[in-house]
Amino acid sequence: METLHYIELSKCPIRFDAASQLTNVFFDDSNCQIFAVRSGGATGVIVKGPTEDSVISFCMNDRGTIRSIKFSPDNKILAVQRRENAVEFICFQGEQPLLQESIVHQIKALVYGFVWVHTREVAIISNSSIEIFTVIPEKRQLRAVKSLNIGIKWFAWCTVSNIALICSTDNNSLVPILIKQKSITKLPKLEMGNTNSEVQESKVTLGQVYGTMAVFLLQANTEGMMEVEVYLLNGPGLAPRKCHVLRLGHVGRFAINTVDNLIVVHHQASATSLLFDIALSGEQANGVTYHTPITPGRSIRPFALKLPSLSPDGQTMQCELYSMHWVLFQPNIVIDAKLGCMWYLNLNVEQLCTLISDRIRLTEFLLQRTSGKQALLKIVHQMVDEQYNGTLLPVLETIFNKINKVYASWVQLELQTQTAQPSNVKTTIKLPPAPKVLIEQQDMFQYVFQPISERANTETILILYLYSLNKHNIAAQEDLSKMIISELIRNRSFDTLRHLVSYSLLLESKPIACFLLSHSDVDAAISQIALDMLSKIEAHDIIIEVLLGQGKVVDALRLARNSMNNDSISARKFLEAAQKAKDDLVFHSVFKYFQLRNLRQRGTMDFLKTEQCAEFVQYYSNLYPKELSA
Amino acid sequence: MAKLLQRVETTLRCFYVFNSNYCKKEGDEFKKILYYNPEDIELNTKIKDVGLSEAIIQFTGTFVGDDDCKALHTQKTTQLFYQPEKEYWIVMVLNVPKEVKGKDGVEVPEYRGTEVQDRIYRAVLRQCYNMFRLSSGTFRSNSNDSDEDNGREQLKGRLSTFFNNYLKTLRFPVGDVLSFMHSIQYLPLEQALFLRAHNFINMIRATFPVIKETVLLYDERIISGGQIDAIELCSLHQYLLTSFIEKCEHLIGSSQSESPLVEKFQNGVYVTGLGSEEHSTDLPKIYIKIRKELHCYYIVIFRVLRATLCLLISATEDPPCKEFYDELRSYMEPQLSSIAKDIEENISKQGLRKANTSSSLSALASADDNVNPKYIFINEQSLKHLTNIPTEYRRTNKSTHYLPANVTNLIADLIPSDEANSLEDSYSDLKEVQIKTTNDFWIVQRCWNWRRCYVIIHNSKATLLDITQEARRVFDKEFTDDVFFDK
Repeated sequence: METLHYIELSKCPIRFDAASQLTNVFFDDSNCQIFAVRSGGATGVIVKGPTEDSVISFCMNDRGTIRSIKFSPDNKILAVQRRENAVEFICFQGEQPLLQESIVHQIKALVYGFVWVHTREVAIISNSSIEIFTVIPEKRQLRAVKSLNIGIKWFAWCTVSNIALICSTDNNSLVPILIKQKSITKLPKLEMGNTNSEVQESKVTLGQVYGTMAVFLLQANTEGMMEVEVYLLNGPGLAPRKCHVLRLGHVGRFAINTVDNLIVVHHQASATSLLFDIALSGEQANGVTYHTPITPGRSIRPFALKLPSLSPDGQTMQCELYSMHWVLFQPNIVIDAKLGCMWYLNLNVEQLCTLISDRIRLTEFLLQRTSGKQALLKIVHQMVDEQYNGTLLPVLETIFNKINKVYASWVQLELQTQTAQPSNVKTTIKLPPAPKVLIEQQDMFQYVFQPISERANTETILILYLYSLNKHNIAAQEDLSKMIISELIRNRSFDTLRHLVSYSLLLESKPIACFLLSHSDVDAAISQIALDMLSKIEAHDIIIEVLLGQGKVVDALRLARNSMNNDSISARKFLEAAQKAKDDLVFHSVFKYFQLRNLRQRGTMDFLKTEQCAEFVQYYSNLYPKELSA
Repeated sequence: MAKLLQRVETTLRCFYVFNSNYCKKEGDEFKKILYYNPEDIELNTKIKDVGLSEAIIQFTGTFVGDDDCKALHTQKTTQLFYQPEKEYWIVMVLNVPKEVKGKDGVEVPEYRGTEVQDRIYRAVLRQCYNMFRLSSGTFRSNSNDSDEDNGREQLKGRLSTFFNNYLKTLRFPVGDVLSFMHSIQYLPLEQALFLRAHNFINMIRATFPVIKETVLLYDERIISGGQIDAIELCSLHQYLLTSFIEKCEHLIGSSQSESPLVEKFQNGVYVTGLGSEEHSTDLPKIYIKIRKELHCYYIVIFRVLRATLCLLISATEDPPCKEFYDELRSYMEPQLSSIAKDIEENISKQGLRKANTSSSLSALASADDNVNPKYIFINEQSLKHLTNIPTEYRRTNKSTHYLPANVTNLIADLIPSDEANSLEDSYSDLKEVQIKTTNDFWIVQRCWNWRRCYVIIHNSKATLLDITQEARRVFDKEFTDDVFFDK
C-alpha cells in the first residue's frame, strides 16, 4: 500500500534561477515574490510570484551587494537595500525601472530591514527606531510620517496582521508593534514569565491561526524535549499570553509553517512534519492547553520534478525533502534555493481522514478546514453507509450536533442581517463570511441521506438528524421532510409519523401534505395525518378537493361555506361532484343550497349563464320534475 | 304506588368458551366445552348452556351469516357472543339489573334488561379474548397437537388458568366510559423531549438488535409505542398496568406516599428478567401483533424513577443471559434516568401553564362536580384519547360512577361501529350529534377525520343554543387541530 502523506508540495512549483556565485535569490513574503538577481542586477533581475506566470524582468546597475529587495504592493516602486544604513528606491514605469530617478535614503542607524505598509509608504526598522516614510517619486524624495524610538536587537514581520515583533534591547522583551499606514502602535509585550534572557531570532516564527496573530516560540522543556509555545494576540490592549504548548516529542532543528490554520512543525532530523490544531481539545493546565500532534509525524509527499526534456513523457527527478537548502516562509512557502523551486505547502485532507480514527475529533478537525466540507460529507456518508452499525448512533448524534451548531449559527446570522436591513433600503445585503465548513440540510440530504434511502436504518438516522436540527432550532425543509415521511411510511411507522406531524417537526406545506395524500392508499392513518397537516396550514381549498374526491360533497360544501367567501364558491364544481356521487339526496341538498344562494345574491333562483350549470338544472328537473314545474 | 325495595346491579352469570368441532359423536358433548365459569357447576348444565348457545348461533346464522350473532336478550339475562377465531366462540351471560319493588305488600321483581348495553359488554368480551391472546397466544396455537385430545386438554388448562384470574378482575356493572373504548393515553411532551426519547429508543434497538420492539411509558401514560398496532398496544398497556406497574406501586404505595417509590427506582430496576425483584429467571412471555404478524416475545421491563421501559425480545431464541442485562443496564440507565427527570420537569412546567390559564377544564375538582363539562376525545387511528375524566376514578371500586349509566350507555350507542373494521374505510364521517338525556345531561358528539369527540354537560335549564355554545367553547379550547366545524 502506498504510504500516506498528509502534507504535500504544490504540484507546479515556481521555478527560478538557482542560487549560485553569480545569482543571488531573495524572497519577499509580503508579495510572495521571488527575486533572482544576476550579477547584482546588471545582467538581469527576474521577479516571479505569487504564481508561476506573473513575471517581471529588468536590469539595473550593480552598485554593491544587495541585502534586501522588495517591490511596493503595486509593483511600481522597488526598494533595494545594499548598504547597512541606506535604502534605495527605484520607480518603475510599466515593467522597466527609471534608473535615473532612483532615490537613496540614508539614515544614521543600522538598518535591519524595511517593509511596505502601503503602496507609497515604507517602514524602515533600524537598531534604534521604527520610521514610516512616504515615497514621493515626483519630487524624488522621502517624507517622514511617523517614528517610534526604541532599542531593537532584531525584528520579525508578519504580513497578514501588519505586526512586527521586535526584541527590545531593554530587558530582552518581545514587543509586537502594529505598523499601518501613518501609524505605529506599540502593543503590550509578550508575557514570558521572569526570564530576561535573550530569545534568539531563529526560535521565533510569526503566523496567523484562526484569524488571530500568533507568535510561535521554540523552547526546550524541562525534560529537554522541544516544545512550541504559542502566544496569541487575543485583543487590543491584552498582553499576548502563552495559550498553547505544542509537544513535539523530538529534539533537533525545527521549522514552522501554518497551513489552513494548522501549525505544521517540520523536523529536519527525522524528515517528518507534525500537525497541530489549536482548536482541538488537549490537556489543560494553568490556562495553557497542551497539544500532541494530531497523528504521528509523517513526511511530506515525495516530489518529482520534471526536468526539461525533449521527449513528451519527460524525465523526472526526486527532490530531496527537508533539504539543507530549504528555506521556509510564512505562511506556507517552501523554497529550495539550490534547486530553484518555490512551492506552497498544501494539506491533503483526504489522506488525513484515514489517519484520524476518532470520528468526532475528525469532524471537529474538518469543520475548521477550508476544504473540509466534501471530506466531512464523505466521512458521514461512509458512517451511515458501509460502516453503519447500531453502536455508531451516539457518535453520529455528536457529529450531527457539531455540524448543526455551525449551521445554526449561520442561519442565525443570515436572519439577523435580513431583519437588520430596513425594507426600503435597496443596497445589496452584505452577508458576513460563511463558516469554513457549512453543511446545510440540503447537503446532508443530497450527499448523505439520499444515497441510503430505503434501508433498514435510514429512518433511525434521519430522525436522529431531525432531533439534532430541532435542538439547534432549525426547521426541517421540504426534501428532508419528504424523505422522513417516505421512510416512515415504508417502515409502517405511522405512529411516529403521526407524532412528528402533530408536534410540527416536519415542514408543513401544501406540497408535503399532498405528498402524504398521495400515499393514503397505504393506510388510512396517512390520510388522517395529511388532513391534519392541511388543516394546520388552513389549506381549505385542498381539503375541499379531497372531500370532493371522496364523494363527501356536503361536507366539502360545508367547509367551503365556512372557509371562504360564500359568493365565490363555484356551483358547477360542487354540482358536478354531487352528480357523480350518485346520491339523489346529496344532489338535491347541494342544488337547493345554490338556488338559495342565488336567491340571496340576485333575487332569483336561476343560475347565471357564466356558471355553466344548465346541465345540472336539467338533471335536477329530471329527478324532481314536479317541483320545477310547480 | 310501587316502592323500590332493592336494586341488584348487572352481574356475571357465566362465561364459557367452546368449539363445536370437538364433539364428533353423541355423548362427546362435554368435549366441546373448553372453559366454563363458574367451574363447580354440574356438567350437564354446562352442556345444556353451550348447546343452547350453539343452537342460537346456528339459527341466527341462517339469517345474518355465520359470524354475526352478537347478543341475545332474555327477560333475566343478556348473552353476548363472540367468535374471535373460526369455530371458537366465547359467550358471556349477564344477569340484567333487577329492581325489587313492593306492590301491595308483595315483592315484585322488575328486570331492566334495556340498561345492559350490548356494545359495552361486547367490548369487554373482546378485550377478554385480546388479553388471553396477549398472554397465551391464539386458541388454535394452544391446541396444536397431533393428538386432538391432548391439544384440547392443553388449551383447557391454559384457558382455566387465565380466565379464573382474569374474570375476577372484571368489575360489573361496567360503568366506565373509557374502559370499553379501548384507548390509550399518551403523554404530550415538548418537541425536543419527544425526539430525544424517540432517539433514545432507536439507539437501544440499534445497539441491541435482539430487542424487537420497545414501549416507553411515564407513569401510566405512553410516550412511544413503537410499531405495535394501536389495538395491540392498548392490550399491552392494560397488561403492563395490571401486571407490573400497579403491582409495584401497590407494594410500596400501601405503606407510604410517593417518596419511597421514587427512591426505589432511583437507580433503575429490572421489574422482570434477571436481577428483578423476584430474582426469577422466568421471563414473562407475551403474544403480540407487530406489523400484523403475531409473534411471541419475552418482555423485559426496566424502570427508572417514573419512566418504564418495556422491551420485547423475540422468544424464538433463548432468553438473554446475565451479561446482556448488565450491558443493557449500563447503556440505558443514565440516559433513561435523565430523560425521566426532564419529563418530570416538563410536566410540572405544563402543569403550571395550565393552571395559569385559570378555570382549566382539566383541573376538575371532585367527582360530583357536574358543573364543568367533561370531554373525551378519541383518535380512531391511534386510539389515543384525551379526557378530563380523572383516571384515578377508574381504579377505585366505588359503586357510584363518574357518569350516570344512561349517559355511558348513550355514548356507547354513539360509537359508530361495533367491530374494529371501521378503520379499513377510506374515509371517516363528518357529523355532529346532540342528545339530551332524561336526567338533564347533554351529550355532544362530533366526528371528523377519524376522530370522535364527546362533550358531556350537565345542565337542566340550558337551551340548545347554550349547549351548542358551551360545546364549541370546549372544542375550541381543547382540540385545536380541527377545521371541519364552524368556528
